[in-house]
Amino acid sequence: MIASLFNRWTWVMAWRDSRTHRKRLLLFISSIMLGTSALVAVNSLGESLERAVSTQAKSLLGADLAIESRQPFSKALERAVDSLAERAEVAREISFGSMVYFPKQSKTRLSQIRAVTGDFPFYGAIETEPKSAYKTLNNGRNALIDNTLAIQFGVQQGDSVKIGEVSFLVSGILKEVPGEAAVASVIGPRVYIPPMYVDSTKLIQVGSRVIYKAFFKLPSGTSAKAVVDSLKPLLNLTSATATTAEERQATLGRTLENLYRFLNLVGFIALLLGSVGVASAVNVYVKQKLQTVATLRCMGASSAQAFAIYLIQTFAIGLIGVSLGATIGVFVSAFLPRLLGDFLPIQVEFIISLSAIGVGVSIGLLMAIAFALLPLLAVRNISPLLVLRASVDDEKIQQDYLRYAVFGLIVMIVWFFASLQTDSALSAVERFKQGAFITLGLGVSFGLLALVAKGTMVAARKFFPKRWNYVWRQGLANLYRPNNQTLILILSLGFGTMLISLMYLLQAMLIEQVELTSKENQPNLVFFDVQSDQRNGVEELLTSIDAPVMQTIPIVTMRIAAVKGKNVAEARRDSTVKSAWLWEYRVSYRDTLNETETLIKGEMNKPVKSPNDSIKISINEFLAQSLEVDLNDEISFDVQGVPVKCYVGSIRKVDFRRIQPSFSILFPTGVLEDAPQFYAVLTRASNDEHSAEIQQAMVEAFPNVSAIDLGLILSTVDSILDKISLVIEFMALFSILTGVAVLIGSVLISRFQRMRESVLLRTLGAVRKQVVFIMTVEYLLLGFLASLSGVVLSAAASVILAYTVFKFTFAPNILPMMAMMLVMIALTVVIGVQGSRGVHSQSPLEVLRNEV
Amino acid sequence: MSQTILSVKDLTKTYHSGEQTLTVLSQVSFSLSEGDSCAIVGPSGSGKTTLLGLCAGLDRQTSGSVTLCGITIDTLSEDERAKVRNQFVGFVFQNFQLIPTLTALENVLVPLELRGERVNEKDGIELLARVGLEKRLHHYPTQLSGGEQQRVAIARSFINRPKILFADEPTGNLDGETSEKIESLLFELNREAKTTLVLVTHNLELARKTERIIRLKNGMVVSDMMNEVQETNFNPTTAQ
Repeated sequence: MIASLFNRWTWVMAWRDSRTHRKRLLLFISSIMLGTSALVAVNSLGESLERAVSTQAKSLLGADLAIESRQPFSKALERAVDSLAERAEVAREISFGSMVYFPKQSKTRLSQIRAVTGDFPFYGAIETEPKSAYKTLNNGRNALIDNTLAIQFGVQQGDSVKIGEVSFLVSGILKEVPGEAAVASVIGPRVYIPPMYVDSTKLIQVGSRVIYKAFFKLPSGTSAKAVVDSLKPLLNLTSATATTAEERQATLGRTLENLYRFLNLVGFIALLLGSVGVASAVNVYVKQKLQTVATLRCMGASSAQAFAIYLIQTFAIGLIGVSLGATIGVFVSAFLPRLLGDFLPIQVEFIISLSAIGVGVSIGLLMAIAFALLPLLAVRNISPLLVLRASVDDEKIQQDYLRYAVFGLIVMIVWFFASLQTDSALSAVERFKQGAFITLGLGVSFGLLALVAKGTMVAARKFFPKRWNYVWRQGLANLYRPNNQTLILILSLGFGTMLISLMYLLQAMLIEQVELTSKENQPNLVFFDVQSDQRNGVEELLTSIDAPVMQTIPIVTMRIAAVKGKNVAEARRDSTVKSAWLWEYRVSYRDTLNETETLIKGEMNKPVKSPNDSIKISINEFLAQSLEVDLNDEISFDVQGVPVKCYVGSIRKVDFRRIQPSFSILFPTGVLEDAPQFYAVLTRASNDEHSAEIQQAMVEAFPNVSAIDLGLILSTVDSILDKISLVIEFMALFSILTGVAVLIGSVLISRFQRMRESVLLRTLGAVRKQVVFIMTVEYLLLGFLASLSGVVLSAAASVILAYTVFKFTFAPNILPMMAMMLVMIALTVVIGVQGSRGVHSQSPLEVLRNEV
Repeated sequence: MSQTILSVKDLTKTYHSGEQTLTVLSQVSFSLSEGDSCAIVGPSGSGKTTLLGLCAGLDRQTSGSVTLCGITIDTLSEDERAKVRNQFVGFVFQNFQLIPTLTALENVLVPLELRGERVNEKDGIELLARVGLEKRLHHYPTQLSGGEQQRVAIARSFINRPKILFADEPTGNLDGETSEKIESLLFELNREAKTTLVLVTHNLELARKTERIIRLKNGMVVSDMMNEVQETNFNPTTAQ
C-alpha cells in the first residue's frame, strides 16, 4: 500500500483521473475550509493572547505586588508596608460599594468607589477622557466616572455627582483601567474620587464592605515572590492576601487559555461537520469511479494502486481546502480580538501566527483524510467483475475491519483534540477524562442526529404514502433512495441549529431565573448597610413613598475563632487553615426557615432563653463541607471581640439566586440582639420609575445606604449574556456555514447524479415545474427534519442542564425556536433548489451525450 | 504441440440468496491452446458472462479449477490475479469500458504503465494508427463515437501483447456496419499476434467466425464443436 503511494504512475494516474472531474472534487474543499479557518483564527487568537499577556504582564496588576485586605491593615502589616516603602514605591487604594447620585439626571446606581494615594498604576495607564483627568483628579473635588455610567445616564464632563454626603464635579470619563476588562464596568461601574474626601462621604460605617489595597513597585532585581514569602506569616494572621504580577499573569493566562480553548472546540466542531461532508462527497465520488476502478483492476492494477490514486487526490484537494481555510482564518483572526474586546483586560494585537496556521492545517488535513478514508477504503474492494455486471455483492465491503480501525482513529483524534482544549491546570488523566466526556457528548449528539436521519429513511420507506400526489411521493422517496443526502444534511444542519439554539436557550434560561424573583410579590429592591440608628427612618421613608417594608433583616459581622476545638490562630501557624476559617461572616438570627431554604439535617434553631442554654446554629451545606463539620460539632466565633461558643444544630440548603439576603450562618434568637448590628431592608417597587424614585429618595436621605435593584441585575445579566452569546454565536456561525457549504456541496454533487433522472423524467413528459417541485419537497423535508432535530436536541439539552446544573425546571419558549426552524428550512430549500438549477435547464439530449 | 493457454475443469458457480441456492454454471470443462479462437454462445442467463469472468480471473468459482497460461489462478489473491491479467490477458467489453478521464492514447497505454515499465508512447500511437485512430490520439472517450471507442478498447487490449483475449459482446452496442469493421479488426489483430480469443456473444454470425463454439444452456455446456473459420477482408484505414 505504502509502495503504491510512492509509485510515479499512481501520481500520474491520480492527476489524469482528476482532470475532467476536478470541479466535483473541489466541492468538498468548502466543507473543510471553514472548520480549518475557525481553528486557524482561534489558534492565532490564542497566540495573540499569550503574547499580549506576557508583554503586558506588569500592567495587568499595575504594580509588581499588591496586598489586599477586607479590613484596615493591622499595625504589624502597616509596619511591614512602611519597611517595604523604604526600598519600593508604594500606592494605596481604598474601595467600597456605594450609590452614586446624578442630580442633573435624577438617577442613582450602585457603583464601586475608589480612592488612590500615590502613583498607581506604576505600569500601564488609566485611560480617561480628557487624557489628563486621572492626573489632575486630586486637584479638587473631582470624580472620574466609568464610561458605562456616562453612557447609561448621559453624564458629561462638568456634571455633578453625589457620593455619600459629598458632591463631586465629573472631571473626566474613565475609559480603561489596566488589567480590568471592559465588561467589569457593566457589573460594577467604577468611580474614582480623591482620597481626601473619602471620610467626608461618611460612607464607611459598620458593615461597609471596604477593600484596602497597597501596591508596590519593587526595585529591579527584587523578586516579588520572595517578598510575598517573607510576608506570608503576617498575611495569614491578618487575613490579607498578596498577588504578584507573575501570579496575575499566570491566572489571567490560564483564564484566557480556557476561553480560547472553548472557542477552539466550537471551531473544531465545525471542522468535524465539514469532515462528515468530506466523507459524504468522497463517498459519492467513489461511487462515480466504480467503473474506472473496475477497468483498471481488469487491466492489472492492484487494489493498493487503485486506492492510492484516490487517496492522493483526496490529499491534494484536502490540502487546497485547508490552505484556503488557513487564509480565511488569518483574516478572521484579525477580527476576533475586536469581538472579544470587552472580555479582555489587555490590548490584543493582530499577528499572523505560523504555528496557528500549522496546527489548523495539520488538524484540518488529518480530519479530512481520516473521514475520507471511510468511503475510500471501499476502493480496495471494488471487484473487476463490475466491468461485466452492473452490481456485485458488496459483502466484502461490509466486512472491512479497516473501517472500524478508521472509526477508532477518528474517535482518538477527536478525544485527543478535545482533551487538549480542557483546563491546562488539570492533571493529564483528568484532562483525558474531560476530553472523553466531550467526545461522548459529541458522539451522543451526532448519534442522535444520525438516528433521526436513519429513522426518517426507514420510516419514509416503511410508511410510504402511496396515495400522495406523484411529486410529493418522489420528493419523499429522495430521502431514502441510494446516494441520498439525508444523513449528511441532518447531521451538519442539525448540529449547527442545535448550537445556536442552545446558546439562545441558555441565555433565556439565565434571564428567566433572574426574572423569577420579580413574580409573586417577591421583593425586588434590597437596601443594605442600614445602620441601627437609620432603621426607623428608612422604614418610614419607604412607607411614605408606597414601598412596603417586606422584611428587615438584622446583620452581625463576626469571624470564626475555632472549629472543633482547633484554634484558627493555631491552624494558621501550621498552614492547615482553610480559607473558610478566615472569612468575615455576615450573620443573621431567626428561628424559622424562609422559602429559599431547605433543611437537610438536624432541627431548625430554637430561641435561646437563658445564658446556660447551648447555642445551636444553622449553617449551609457548602460551609459545612468547607469547615468539615457535621451536626453537634463545635464552632466558636469572635463576635466583634466577644467569644461565642456554638454547636451545629442544623444544616440547610440555600437557594442564593433569589434577590434577597441569604446567610451561610443563622443564629437562634436570644443571642445576638445586643451585638452591634446593621440591617438590610427589603421592599418592592411597582415599576422601574417607582424603583428609581425610591432609590433617589433613599440616597438623598441616607447616602450610606446602598440598593440592589432587580431591574439593574436583569439588565446587567442581559448585557453580559448578550456579549457572551455574540462570541459563541460567531463561532457557531462557522458550524452553520459549514452546514451550508456541505449542503451546497451535496446538492452540486448529487446534481451530477440527478441529471440523468431529471432528464429521464423530462423525457417522459415531466414539466420543469414538476422537477423543481420534487426537489423543493425533498429540501423542505430535509430542512424541516434537520432544524427540528437541532431545536429539539437543544431544548432537551437546556432542560437537562437546567435540572442538573442550575437545579430548576425550565420550559423553553417555542416561538423563537420555531422562527429559527423557519429560517433554516428556507435556507435549505433556497440553496437546494438554486444549486440544482442547471439540472432542469439543460436539454435532455445534451445531458445524455455528456454523461459518461 | 501448441501450448495450452486456458484450461477449465469442472467449473461451477453458485449464488446463495437466503435459503435458495442458484447454480449459474455447472461442471464446465474445456481447454484452449495458443492462437485458438472460441465463441461462447447461449441465451440470456445461460452463464456466458459468468464463465468469461471466471476464466479471466475476475470472479471466484464455487468449485472447479482455472489454469491461465500455466498458472492455476484458483488460490491466487485478487492482487495476484491482477498481475496475471496484466501480463497475459486482454479485454474487450460490450460497453467499451474506457476510462473517461484519460485520452485515447493514455487509455491504450494504461496496461503497460501498470507494469511499472518505462512506456514508449510510440507503441500506443502505432496501435491506434493500426486501428485507424492516429488522428484521435488526444481525444477523450466522450469525444469519440461508439465505434471509435471500441477501436481504442481493441488497441488497448493488444498493447501488452496478451496471450489470451476475452471479448464480451464486442459489437453488442454498435450498428451493423461498424460491427462488421470491428469484428474484422479484432480477428485480424488476433491472427497477427497469435492470441487465443475467447468471445462471448449472442450473435451466431460472429460466433461462426471462431474455430470453436461452446454452447451453454442453464449453466451447462450443451455442445462444444469445431467450426470452420471464415476469412474476413478488412482495411483498417477505411474503418470509421
